Amino acid sequence: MIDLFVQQLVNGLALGSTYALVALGLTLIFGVLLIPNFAHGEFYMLGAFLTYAMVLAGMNFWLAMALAVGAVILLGCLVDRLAFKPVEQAPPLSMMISALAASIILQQSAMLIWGGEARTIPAPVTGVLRTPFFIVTWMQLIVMASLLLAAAGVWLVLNRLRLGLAIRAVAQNRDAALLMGISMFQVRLATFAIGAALGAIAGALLGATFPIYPTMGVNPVLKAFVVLVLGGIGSLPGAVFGGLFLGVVEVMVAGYISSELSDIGAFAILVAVLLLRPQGFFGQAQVER
Amino acid sequence: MPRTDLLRVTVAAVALFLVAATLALRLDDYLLYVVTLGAIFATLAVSFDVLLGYTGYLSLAHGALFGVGAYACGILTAHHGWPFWAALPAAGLVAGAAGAVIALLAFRTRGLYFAVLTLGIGLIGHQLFLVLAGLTGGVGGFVGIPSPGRPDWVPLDQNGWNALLALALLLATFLAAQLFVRSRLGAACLAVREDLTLAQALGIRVGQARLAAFVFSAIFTGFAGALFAAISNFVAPESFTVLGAGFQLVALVVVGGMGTLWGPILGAALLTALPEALRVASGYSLMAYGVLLLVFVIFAPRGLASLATAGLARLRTGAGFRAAPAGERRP
Repeated sequence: MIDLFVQQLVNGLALGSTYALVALGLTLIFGVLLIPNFAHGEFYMLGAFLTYAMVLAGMNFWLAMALAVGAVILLGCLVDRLAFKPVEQAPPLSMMISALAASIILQQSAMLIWGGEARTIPAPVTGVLRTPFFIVTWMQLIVMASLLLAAAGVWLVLNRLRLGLAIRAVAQNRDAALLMGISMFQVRLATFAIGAALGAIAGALLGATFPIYPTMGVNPVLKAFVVLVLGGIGSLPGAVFGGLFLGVVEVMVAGYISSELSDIGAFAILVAVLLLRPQGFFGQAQVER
Repeated sequence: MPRTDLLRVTVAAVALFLVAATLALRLDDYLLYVVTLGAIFATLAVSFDVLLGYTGYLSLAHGALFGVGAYACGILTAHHGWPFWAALPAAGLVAGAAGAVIALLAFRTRGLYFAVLTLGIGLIGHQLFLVLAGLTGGVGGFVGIPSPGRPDWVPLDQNGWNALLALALLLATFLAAQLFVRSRLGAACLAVREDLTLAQALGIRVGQARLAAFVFSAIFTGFAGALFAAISNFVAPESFTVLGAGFQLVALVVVGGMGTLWGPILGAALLTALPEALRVASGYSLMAYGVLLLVFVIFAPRGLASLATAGLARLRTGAGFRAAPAGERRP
């Protein structure tokens, strides 16, 4: 009984790590630039597909993943330039619609290139780690480790680099930051690059465990929005803990109640949190001016 | 003044309906089906615009509400033997009630949170259509929904009758929406859209207004769902996904022109006609939606309607335009 619980907890943390990785990029872009980037799921999907294409061509998985991340970073900056920059001055609704459009366009492009059927990337590492209490695959451990590394990396960039200072300044008050001579161009570029990279890493790692297909980004990005709301929009610790929490809840609902209900459980939590604590666990209440 | 205006709009709408119906009934069966579907989506778009264009809230739960209307009609007619004409208003009421519950939850938030919350609700709805297989037929779909009954005196076959019903529903929705946006509630909705805080400070009952807008759009979305189910004889959860139907509605309204009621009809006509006109595989139609949406939101955020208005204005002043350069003095 206890064994089962521990095993479920580990599975939940592994699943939650992928949600957290996706949510980390999403919350960064939203927190700094106020862009609800629905296309983030497509960064994730393209990370997986580009890795897949290169591994299929005979490349080493890790090298392929690094190249895919680089390509998705370029693409992320392009998406920002084409879809988000032009509607910067428009009402927030335009930004959301533009993001939805970008997401559909990327998804359909992948559909045209690779077709709709599911594929798998050959896993670079196989096998499991057995402990007295639970079993965990090496791939799951790698995903969890990547989350820790990514979170630490983002924290270092934001808190120890001059660029990070600029990013935080823009997040706090865009106009004041501009008056201080901070280059919005650099901040935008850096934010989108980091965000897209996080998405692509998550996609490549997940693609080595689960099947990949052009619409695979939809569910994770929706889950990541749930995580954002759970953790508080723009909060990095919120994204990490929110992601882990959501993963654990989903696995527990699937394990103890019914696997059919796990998605409903996740979205029901979203509704409940928005009602009880709209600013999220880690967020600060928004003061309307 | 507004009353004569409303009269003019009504006369124009009825006239257009008659023209559209006469033209449509001359088409072959396939094109007639395209027109029928287009009219249903135009109905959805008009009712959605009352919320998106006139009240300023982006709801992604309307795909699920469309499904609620469709399944309500299916269950009532196929399982309980109700006639279509009793099931249609019932489906509208069921969707309206579901909409009221969603609205009460969702209006505690706004902006992006509202979009995300309704997105979550839309996803729950779609999952419920799959999970409640006893009621909805689950992933296999709901089969055997009877077609809308056709009176004997109507000299049309079933396809023609379906198209006529869809166009009539569009007309009714358009006129009801015209009445709604001209009412005090409609004016209050505009105030909510422009500046919520100011509206509250002026003593406008913002809660009542936006609830009314949401429920209004939910009811007519339910009607459209019911007619869709009866005409198709079959519905499946894939028709009611957030990124399918929910997103399509946003596209129709934005491309057509938010905040005008005739714009979304143009949008629906364009976006249903376009794939047929190009005769392309269905894979490209979603791509076309995305591209059109992006192009419109960047270059013409007020949609086809604003382009049409600007074009008309230019035509009207065309004569004076040519004469202008000689007499015009630049300051």
